[in-house]
Amino acid sequence: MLVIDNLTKRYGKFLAVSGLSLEIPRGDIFGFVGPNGAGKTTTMKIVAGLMQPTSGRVLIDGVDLSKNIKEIRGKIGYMPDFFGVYDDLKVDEYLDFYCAAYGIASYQRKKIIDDLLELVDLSDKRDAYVDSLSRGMKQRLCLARSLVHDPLLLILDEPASGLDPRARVEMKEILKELKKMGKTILISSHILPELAELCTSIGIIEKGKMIVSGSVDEIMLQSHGTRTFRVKVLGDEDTAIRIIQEQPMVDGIIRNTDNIEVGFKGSDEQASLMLHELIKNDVHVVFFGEVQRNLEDVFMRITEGVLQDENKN
Amino acid sequence: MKIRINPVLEKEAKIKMRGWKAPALLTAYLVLLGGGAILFFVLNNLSRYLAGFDPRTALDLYTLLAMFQLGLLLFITPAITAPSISGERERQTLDLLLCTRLSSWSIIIGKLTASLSHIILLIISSIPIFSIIFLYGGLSPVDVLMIFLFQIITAVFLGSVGIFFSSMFKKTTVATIMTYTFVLFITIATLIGFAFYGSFTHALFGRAPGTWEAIVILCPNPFIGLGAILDKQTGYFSFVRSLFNMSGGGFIANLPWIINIAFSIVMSAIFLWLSALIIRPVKER
Repeated sequence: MLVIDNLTKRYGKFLAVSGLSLEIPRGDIFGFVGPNGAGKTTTMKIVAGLMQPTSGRVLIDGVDLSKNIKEIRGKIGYMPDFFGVYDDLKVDEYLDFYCAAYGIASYQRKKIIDDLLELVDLSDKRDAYVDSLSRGMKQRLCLARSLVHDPLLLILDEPASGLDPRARVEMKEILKELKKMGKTILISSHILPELAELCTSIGIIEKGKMIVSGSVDEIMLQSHGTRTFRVKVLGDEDTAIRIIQEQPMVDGIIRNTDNIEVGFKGSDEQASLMLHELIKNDVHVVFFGEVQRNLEDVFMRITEGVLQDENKN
Repeated sequence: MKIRINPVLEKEAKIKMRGWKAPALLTAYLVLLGGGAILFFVLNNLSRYLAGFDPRTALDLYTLLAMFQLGLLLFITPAITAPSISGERERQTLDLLLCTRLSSWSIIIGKLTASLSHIILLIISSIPIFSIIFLYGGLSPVDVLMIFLFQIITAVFLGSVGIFFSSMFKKTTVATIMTYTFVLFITIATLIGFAFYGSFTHALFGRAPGTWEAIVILCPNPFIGLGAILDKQTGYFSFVRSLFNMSGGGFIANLPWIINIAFSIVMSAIFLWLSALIIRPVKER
């Protein structure tokens, strides 16, 4: 759906994006992670056709962005990190204006607006002035705006920034709905654990370079090298630890007060074999599960690596 | 077939007419113009009460209203057009507009027509005031229409300048100052420049500037264009002809206003084209 090939954006001497490449298949949700000034917004603006890259190519649905921007605009829905609204315009008029700007015939607009307001849970605010909405409502309205022309690709730059926890949950629910609808989404966020739950894959960008990209599990594994499993047993913990130690992919054990943490380098199949061994040896397992790593941790660890490499150089 | 209105124009018209500013501007405009006309009559009737009716009163009022209206338009147009693009930028809505299917040209034209519709509304609302002159005769509605058309073309020109500076500068304040500076330049600086040039030709060649020299320096000035039209219609402002070193009438006497209108149209096209080029983030093919 989206192919970014060796994208570079330079402002004078400053390199905002450097040789960035990525590919997002149709229906995927790609999370763009990176600190402020890493080049996320610049990349997203280039993909949205709002900025000319210094070099590199962007293909959307097989069409080269630089060759047919007008066609591409109909395929992209863009929601910037900061945006404004027009005073003296009501919610339905606001959406109607963008429908018109996307060339949607007036007889089709009412249904589109009704559906979108329902999706973002703003149906009861149809006649309210946009300016009177809360921040969360404005964010949702802006998301609805980016969907008026039913785009194939959604580019959402920090859609949850500045929202209170409740509004953030509401935004997340809408994004899940969009995922179900099969939209391809490129999303950036500084709230990393949220992306882990939502995205099919993520990319970590630092100083304009893509440091690592892949599925969330792959990145966790690449970063830590090991996964962590938590095992809780009834009774004899020593036997359990002995059996776990005998497993080939185990990489360290920590005995906590009420559970055992196991560092593990293997696959899901190998983990299930470990559980099977415990049960076979009459260990009463009451809990066996993988500890979800904090993505923020992973991000800090990876970007720390980049900084250390740079300092060495 | 349904006529498709430029979405930017439709939205702007809705927003503009909803606020208090548009009615306030219209009221202030009519109060100033109408007040000027009333004041003129009061002063005129007081001085001429014993001398009877002078048919020139209508022509005096007409020229006064036409000049006053042009002055008001020169003052109002920059204020309306200079925030058009920079305002979108400041409000952080420009990117949202640019990523729609609207071309940068449609956005610019939408902005210009929205501002112009406001100005045309002011001009149309002044028709009853201008109609006073028909009570006295001596002028035809075609004359008044010609003045209105000239003023609209001038408004298009200054509107294009306002939009150009608005596209060029991020801040509305800077765009507004630049547009007013431009207005001052074409109205006052051209006259001062012409005076300097005149003293230069006198000192060096012992003559006044020639017709074409005057045309080059003075024709951007809308007051000179309007003066030339009023001279043709009323016989007043014959000094315009003298500025251009023209004696007598004929086609050549029309040149100042024809060239002024042509200048306005060509410059409008250039400024609008440049504005579309500036706001366009990626080449549109």
